[in-house]
Formats: sequence, structure tokens, C-alpha cells
Amino acid sequence: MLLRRVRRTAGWIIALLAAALALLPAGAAMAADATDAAVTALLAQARAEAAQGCGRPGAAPTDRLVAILCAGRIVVGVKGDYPVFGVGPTDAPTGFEPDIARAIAARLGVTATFQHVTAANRIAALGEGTVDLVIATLGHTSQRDGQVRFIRPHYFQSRTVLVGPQPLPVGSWNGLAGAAVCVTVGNNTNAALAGHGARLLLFDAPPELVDALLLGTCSLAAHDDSFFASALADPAFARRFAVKFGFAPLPWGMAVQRRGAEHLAALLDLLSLQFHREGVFLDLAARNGAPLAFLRDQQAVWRTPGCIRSDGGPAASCLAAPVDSALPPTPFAARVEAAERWLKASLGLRVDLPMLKTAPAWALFLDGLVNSLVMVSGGLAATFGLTLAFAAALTARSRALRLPVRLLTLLGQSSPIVLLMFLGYVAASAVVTYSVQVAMLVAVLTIGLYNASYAGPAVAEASRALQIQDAPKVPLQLAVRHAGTQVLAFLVNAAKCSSIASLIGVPELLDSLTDIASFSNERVTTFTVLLLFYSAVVGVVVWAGEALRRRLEAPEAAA
Amino acid sequence: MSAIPAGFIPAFLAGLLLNMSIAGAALLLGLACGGPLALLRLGGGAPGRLAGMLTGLLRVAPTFVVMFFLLNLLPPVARLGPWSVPLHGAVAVVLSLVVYAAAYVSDTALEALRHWRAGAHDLSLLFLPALARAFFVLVMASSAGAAIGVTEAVTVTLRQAQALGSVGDRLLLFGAVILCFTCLLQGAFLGVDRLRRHLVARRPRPAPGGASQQTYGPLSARCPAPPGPSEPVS
Repeated sequence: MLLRRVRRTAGWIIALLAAALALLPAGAAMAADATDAAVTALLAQARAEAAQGCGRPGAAPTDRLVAILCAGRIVVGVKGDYPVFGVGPTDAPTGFEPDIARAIAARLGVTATFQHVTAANRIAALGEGTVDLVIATLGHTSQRDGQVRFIRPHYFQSRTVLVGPQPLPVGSWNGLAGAAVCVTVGNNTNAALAGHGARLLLFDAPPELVDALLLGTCSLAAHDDSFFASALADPAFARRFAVKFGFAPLPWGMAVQRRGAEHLAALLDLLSLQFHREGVFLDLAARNGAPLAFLRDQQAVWRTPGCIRSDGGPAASCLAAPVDSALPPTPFAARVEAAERWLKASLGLRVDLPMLKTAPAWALFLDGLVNSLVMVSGGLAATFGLTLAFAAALTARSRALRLPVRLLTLLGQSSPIVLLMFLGYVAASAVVTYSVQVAMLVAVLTIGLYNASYAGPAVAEASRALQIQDAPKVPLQLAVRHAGTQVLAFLVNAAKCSSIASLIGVPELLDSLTDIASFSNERVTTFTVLLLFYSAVVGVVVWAGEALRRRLEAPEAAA
Repeated sequence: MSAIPAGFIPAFLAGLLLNMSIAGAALLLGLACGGPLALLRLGGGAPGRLAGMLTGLLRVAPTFVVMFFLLNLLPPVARLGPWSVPLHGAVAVVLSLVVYAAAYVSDTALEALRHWRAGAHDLSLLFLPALARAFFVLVMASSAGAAIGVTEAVTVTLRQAQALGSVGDRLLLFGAVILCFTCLLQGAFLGVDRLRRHLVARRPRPAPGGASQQTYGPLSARCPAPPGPSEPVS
């Protein structure tokens, strides 16, 4: 057994060395031949091993490549819902990526069979061994390098683009503050959008973004240009929407298992290089309507002799680098992860706390907590202050004071608070430049105005009722005490309202946790934390309000 | 304002119809959940206390946050045997408003049941105008759907405002829509108050005791009734 393994390994080494040595002094044309020779040598060695080992009991293939040749088929994970790149049923998928898979299968002399994978399970599918190869819009990041073996040179490069209605005047990051942007969860570039003040609306799958744009759910949608390519190819869609700007280029790579597929990976590296050089990728992309700019650049690169090593492989200096999307961890990330594992093992609870594990998420979370508490406090103060002011004005002798306040409270009572919030935002942005502080001030005043529009008249009515019964002049304090239930109800309502401030770009907890969920791909724990926080805050306001009311009513009850 | 296309008003009215549909659905589900809670509370004992606690929790739940919570946690499609129901944004709005509606129904139905039990049948009928009032409050509150892209009246307005060039035009549009909502809501509340007065006028004698429960938002009877109940959007 050991002897057989040594022989196999030696065979592989000799095949690779033979390919390299034969072409050591090669020039430009020879470099290309070196790649072809290396492919031939690798395949020959694998076929030889397959011929010896296929079907023999106890002779498991040493590499995935041999297993593929033994089976006579390569199982490829592709997308089924990504126009241009991979659509259709698994028995006959179409698109750039299934076509690449077929071209690879043809070079191997096997048939390609397909399985659908999604963004969520494509890496797991490789790990579980249900597919040999994934060609499924997989962006190459340095973090994923630890999970799968990427095939390089890359076969495509996307960038994130913002697509919006034609007339919408957004051409750069400057226009994003407060704009509703539809994104898919788990996309690394969401952090950049959130960082520029965009209000993110989360969706599970890219096709939902097009629907959201058509329905007007959001002002803009952000995703790979590769995805929007098919939508923008539709004249009706292109008449209404356009790419506003793009950012964050990301190379896409085919991927295989990290272990047990070394020879398959080496062969696919060489085939990828060949496909660039020979224009196979370009032809397949053009046939499917995929963007060609990156592939044209790559063809030029891989036709350059200096980019091909003497053994026929791609020179590292010519390869596109993976994107580093790692977020720095918090100092306590390890302990949080340990706690998560303990909860799962001990209580069976699946808890994921992304807001505690990376530094940007932690910063967002803390800011959100502080801003939420500021908003609640501000909303309570504004509600109480405006309640007193409205009550004083409504009980004033001067009709000139009573009438405008009566009108104001009537409008306040009759307007949806969401509309009032945007009205305040538009009015404020006409006179001052947008900033978080301005948005918070607008939100606090709107919440105060809205709730005081109910509580103020209630206090005024209490004052009038007491005036008839008891004395000609009723102190405001007494009227507030008698309208205590109403005032407390609207103070509680003000606390409940504070999260609406996120609509105009106030980075309170709802806004922060939505941003965190957008790039962490975790929503259950995140939004549960949000609900618990706001319920606790409202609970505290209720408790404090009741305690204060009892204290105020105590002297009256005693009398 | 001349820049507003002719399609705005039909779209706005369609949006308003959606607001009313959401409110109607939330109120019906609120009745289904709040009614049994009120009956349990009337019965007293441990189940009554539990129902009271549950009502208290529903009362303080921040509706806007609940909406986002549901939006992010609901599956895209709910399957009940052979049937499947797509759970889009409007469903999240309805369910979040049910939280408020159930608490409101639990409080007002309990009051009505107590009146009924005390023989003041006419006063227990005040439950009907209270429900009508809640419906219009829910219509206003359903505008929270604008935050998640539900195409209700405020969303239509915001979309239109975005297409308008000048701040002045946007403010005029908002003003016009607020005026529309004011007419709708004040007219509705006027009708509800008339119904309430009509029912109270039939009352042969003053009601026995009966201060209403502490409600955070809807009607409360400890002091002169406010011009309208608070919105549960929060």
C-alpha cells in the first residue's frame, strides 16, 4: 500500500518536472506551449492512475481529479437564478458559468453534471463533497482562501454598482446620505454603503432587488454589475434605470476543496490560463452577454510571456489579488464566540452576536445604543416641553395665540408621523446642510410635536374642566396632574416613536443593527436584540412614568 | 406643483386603499387575539392575571421595531398544508399593528364586558365607536410601511416628492397630503364622536364606576377624552 502511494507521488512529481524541464528555455510561444504541455502531463498522469485504481477495492483515488476521471463526470455547483451567469434547471443550465464547466469537462474528457448552489451553501457544498467544483459567482476574498482553493487566474471580475431611476441625481457617495438602498444580506460592500449614510433595506436574493426597484421600494439598489447586466439589457428597464456609479472591484474564481483536490486545482489553474490566452472565456462571455472588459485585459496579460512561469503556470505577479474583506475583531471576540458555543452546547440555543465580534460592528452598535438613548430622552423632553407650551397657549386669553396652536395641534394629530418626519427633514435640509445632529434635532422636534399635539389639548381640556368646577385660574401643574394618564400615554408613545428617526438617517439602534445585519449575514439574534432593547426602554419609561404619577397624585389622594 | 404627474392622485388613492386594507386586517386579527384576552381577564384568577400581563406586554411593544423584527424573521412564504401565502412587507405591517390592536381590543372589550355584566348594555355598545376610532388610528399607523417600501399612501407621496425638483414643491406636496389626511381623520373622528354621543344619549342613567384601564395610546377615560388616540406606529 505504502509502496503504491510512493509510486503515485513520484509519478506526479515526474510528470510535473518533465513538463517544466522540457520548456525551461522557452520564449513567448514556448511559454504557451509550456502550459499546454503541463496540462497534458497532468492529465496523462491522472488518467494513468485512474486506469490502475478505478473500481479496485481498497484503492481510493488519491485526488479528486482521479475520482472525476474514474466517474467519467465532473459535478459542478452553479447558480440557477443568476441571469447571464447561471440560470435554468440542473439538467440543462445556461449561462457563462455552466458553459465554462462544459468547456472544462470537454478538456478532461468527461461529462459535466450540475447542481444548484446558492450564496449561502456553495462553500459548504464543496466541504461536504457533494460537488467537485464550484463556478457560482464566488468572489475571491482572502477570508475565503481559508475555506476553499481558488482557481487562478480568475475568470471574471465584478464591481458593485448602484442602480437607480434615470432622473435621480446621484453620481457619487455624496448623494447617498438618507437614501433608501436595497441590498442583499451578507454582501461585504454593504458596510461601505452604510458608512456613507445610506438607509439599507435587506433582501435575501438578487432578483428581489430588481422587483424592489420596479415597485419603488427603494431609491437605489446595490449589487454586482454582473447581476444588473441582464436587467439593463432589457430596453424597458434601461429606459427607467441606470448605473449611478460603481465601486469595490472583486475578482471571481472557480473553487475546489482545499484538501484532496491539489492536482485538480493545479490542472484548473492551467486550464484557466489557457482559456484566457485562447479567448475561450471571452467567447463564452460574449455568447452569454457578460461584460467583456476584464476578460480582454486578462487575455492581454496571459499572452505576455513574463506572466507564464517556466513550468507553464501563471506568474504570481500577474494574478489579481484577492480582496481583503476581513473586519478587525474586537478584543473580546474570542470570548463572545466561546459564549456562543457554550449556549449551543449547553442549552441548544443558536445565538450569533455579530455586533460584539468585529470592531466596526461594535462601534456601530455602541453608537446606535447611545443615539437611541439620546433620541428617547430628547423625544420625552420635547413631548413634555411642547405639551406644556401647547396647553399654556390653548388656555391663554388671547385668541391670536390659541388659534394657531389649535390649528397646529389639529395638523399634528391628523398627520402620519412618518410624513411629519420627512416634512421636517425636507424643511431643515432647505436651510442647513444635512448632518446627524440636524437629523436628530428634526426627529426629536417631530416626535415632540406629534405627541404634544394630543397631550397638550388634553391638559388644556383638564384645565378648562377644573376651571369650571373649582377656581377661576387653574395652575398648569394642577392641570397636568389631572391629565396625567394622557400625558403619560403620550410620553410612552414618544419613547416608542424614537426608532422612526432612522427613516431620516439618524444612526440609532435600528439603523445600526440593520447595517450590521447587512454585512454580517445574521438577522435573528440581531433583530431580537433590537426588539428587547426598545421593549426594555419603553418598559422603563412606563415604570418611571407610573411611579412619578403615583407620587404626584399622593398628596391629592391624602387630602 | 404643476410638475406632479396626473398619475399621482390615482396612485395616492390606491395607496390609501392599501392603508385601509392593512388597518382592516390588523383590526380583525386584533379582535381575534384581543377578544379572548378580554374574556380571560374578565374571568379573573390565574388565567386572567396572565392575560393581563400579556396585554401589558403587547401595550408597550414598539410597533415600528416589531415591524422590522417581523420583516427580517418571517420566511418569504408561509405554508399551511397545500396553501402557501407570500409574506411580503405588508404582512409585516399588518402583524406589527396586530400587537397594538390586540392590546387595544383587550382593554376596550374588557370595559364593554364589565358594563354589560353590570347591566349597562347601552354603555357596552360604546365598544363599537371605540373600534371605529381604532380603525382610523390604524390607517394612520400603517404609514409605517413606508419604511419598508410598502406602496401605501405615504410611500407614494415620498416617491413623488423625490421626483420633484425644488424644496418648495416638495413642501407643497407634503402640505397637500397632510391636509388630505387631516380632512379624512377629523371627518372620521367627527363621525365616531357622533355615534358615541348618540349611544351615550340613549343611556338612562350614569354609568356605574368604571374608570378604564391604563392604555398607552388609545382612548382613556380618566380625564376629558383627548381629541384623538395616539398612533401606535411607535
